[in-house]
Amino acid sequence: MNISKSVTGNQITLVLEGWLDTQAAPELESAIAEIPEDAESLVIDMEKLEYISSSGVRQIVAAHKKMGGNLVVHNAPQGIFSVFEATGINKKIRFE
Amino acid sequence: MNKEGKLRVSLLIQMAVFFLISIIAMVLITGKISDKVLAKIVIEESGFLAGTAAEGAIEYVRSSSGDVSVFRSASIRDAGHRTFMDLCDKSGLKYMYLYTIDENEVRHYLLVAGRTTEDDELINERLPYGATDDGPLWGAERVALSGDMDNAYEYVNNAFGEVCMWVYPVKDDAGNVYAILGADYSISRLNNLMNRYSGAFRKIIALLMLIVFAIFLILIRVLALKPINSLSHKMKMFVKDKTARLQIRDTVFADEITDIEGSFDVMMEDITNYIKDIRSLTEQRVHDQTQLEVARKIQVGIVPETMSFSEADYSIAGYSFPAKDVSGDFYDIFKLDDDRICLIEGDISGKGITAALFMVMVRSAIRQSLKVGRGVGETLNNVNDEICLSNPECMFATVFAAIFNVKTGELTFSNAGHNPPVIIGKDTHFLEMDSGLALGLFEDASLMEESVFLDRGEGILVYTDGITETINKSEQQYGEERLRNFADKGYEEGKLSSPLELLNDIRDDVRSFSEGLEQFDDITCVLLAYNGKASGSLELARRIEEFDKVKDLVREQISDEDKAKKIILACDELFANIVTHSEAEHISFDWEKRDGIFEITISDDGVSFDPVGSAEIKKKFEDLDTGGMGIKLVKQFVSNISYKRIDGKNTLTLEFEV
Repeated sequence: MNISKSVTGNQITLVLEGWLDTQAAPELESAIAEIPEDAESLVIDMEKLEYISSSGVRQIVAAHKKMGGNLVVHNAPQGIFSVFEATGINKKIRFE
Repeated sequence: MNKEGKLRVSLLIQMAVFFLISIIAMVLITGKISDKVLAKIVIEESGFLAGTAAEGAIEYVRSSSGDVSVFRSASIRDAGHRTFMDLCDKSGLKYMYLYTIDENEVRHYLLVAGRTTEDDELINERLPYGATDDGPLWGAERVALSGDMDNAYEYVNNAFGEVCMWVYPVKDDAGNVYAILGADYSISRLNNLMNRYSGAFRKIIALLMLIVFAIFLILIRVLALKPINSLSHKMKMFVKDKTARLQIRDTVFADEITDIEGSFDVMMEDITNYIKDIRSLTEQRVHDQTQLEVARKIQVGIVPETMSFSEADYSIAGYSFPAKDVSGDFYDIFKLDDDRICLIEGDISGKGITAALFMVMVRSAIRQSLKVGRGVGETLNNVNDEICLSNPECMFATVFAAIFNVKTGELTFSNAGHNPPVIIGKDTHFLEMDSGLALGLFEDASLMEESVFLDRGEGILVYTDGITETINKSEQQYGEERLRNFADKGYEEGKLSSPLELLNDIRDDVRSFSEGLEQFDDITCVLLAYNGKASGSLELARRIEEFDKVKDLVREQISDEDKAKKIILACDELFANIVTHSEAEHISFDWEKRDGIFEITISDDGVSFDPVGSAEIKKKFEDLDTGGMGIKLVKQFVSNISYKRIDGKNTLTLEFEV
């Protein structure tokens, strides 16, 4: 998968592209680890994400925790959103 | 203009033109002939006039002297001259002259006269009294000298003009010729006369012929044209109205026309009868055709022209093209249950409606028997016995019946005298089997039940002899070998995956083989292609990257992307668990696709773990980053999941609807 990062002031945007499966989850994990402590908010754009497994979902939850809740998921396709739905996480994380 | 685009000219006009031309020709020809006759008549006429005048002149000469010496006197010559002129005038002569011929045949002119003043002056100037002429004597002059009074004339053309010269002797009392009297008749005058006669003659002939022609035309009209016209009119009426009848005319004599009328009357009656016959024949044919059509409809309802269906494990297709309206061939393909397909093909002896009815009976009996669960051998034997009990028409049927198990690839079959089917595959060959006896021939036929296994990718082609016995223009048969080779070629080209296409290719090949000839027998084929079970197995090492193999497999087998992703997700979660927790050495993924279900069995020899039965761990959202969602996701996306521990292996069976 591809992860691209952009910074606007204190807001960080991660654009995920491709398959976020068990194999790819560590890539996202390290991308989140690299987010500086003073970052105020995180946007994860999933428009080009084709697949997500529970290990991917776990990283999103971890990011949510790290950002103190300041996480917004953008443009999640229906297939991806349904995975969040299946785990009930869609109720806790903001999807836009 | 009539139908052929020719100008229509009535017979009467044609004949009239012909007659007119004939009349003109005849008048011309008769004119030529009559001119000769007329010329003679005219000469005689002139001779008569000249003779009459000459008689008067001779009388005058003789009465005046009896001797030519008196003409020495000028006064006598004057009187004579007047008399001659008078005579010329009366008789229309051009000249009249008196002369003597001496012993030296020299003419001595005594008295000459002309009718007109010009002629008179001319002749008196040239030949005055005493003038001589020693020109050779004319034949007519010699005749006159001999004393003959008649027929002595000459045509003379000289300085005095063109004349007919009549010569008469002047005799004394003793009958001696002492002078000659000449009387000239002008030729132009003669010609005028003749033209007058000739014109009159031609007119008379033309008139006569016209009358004859008119009478002739009237006769033709009454005797021939009118009856022909009336006949022609009646013929036209008959063309419009076939019930019209000819009324035979009442005639005194029988002639050619009444013959034609008679023949035409007979012909009209014949035609009317023919039409009646043809009508009733046509009605009969339409009736028969309708019956056949009904039979054909029933048959097509029972034996569809083409039929095909397929599932993951197999594809099957069949067709039947009758040579005549109603075929004696049949085929039948149907599913017996989830795993078994029935395949029947038969050929009934004979053609037409009887064969079709027999076919329906045989086909229904076989189908029923197979449906209640009897085997193919038992079925064919039973049906044979049943037919033999009552078969007054002595019909028989060759039948090949088979049940194919799609799970095992086993083909169980029984053959009743049908052509050996072709097994299509790497080694395309004819199925070896007991030939058996056709149904309906003998009771207790003891038909055998045999079986073969089809390998994955193989097929079986059942056909009727309508294919192999098709002949071409050189009377060669299509033959088994050609069929086998054609089917083999189809296999090489990968056409077995769509049986109906390969069957159509076979039909086209048969038709092009017999090009220009009518299809002589029914053509019926069934082709079953065994694709084998859609299943497989993957052995995976306990490394997360190994999951790519599963991903590829699912994407290859499942075309719907969303469904594929859900299957991959479920497998992803389970495989991740195994990799992380099981410490297994062998992990295998077995899969099978059937009836809309994609089944995956995952087994590993690791630590015993039942994800299905294990109690769901309730975690707070904040703790979800440490896991615990995987099994939940799996359960959401499978339609069925079960766990067993078999032979020290965790065995998870997942079913997905696809």
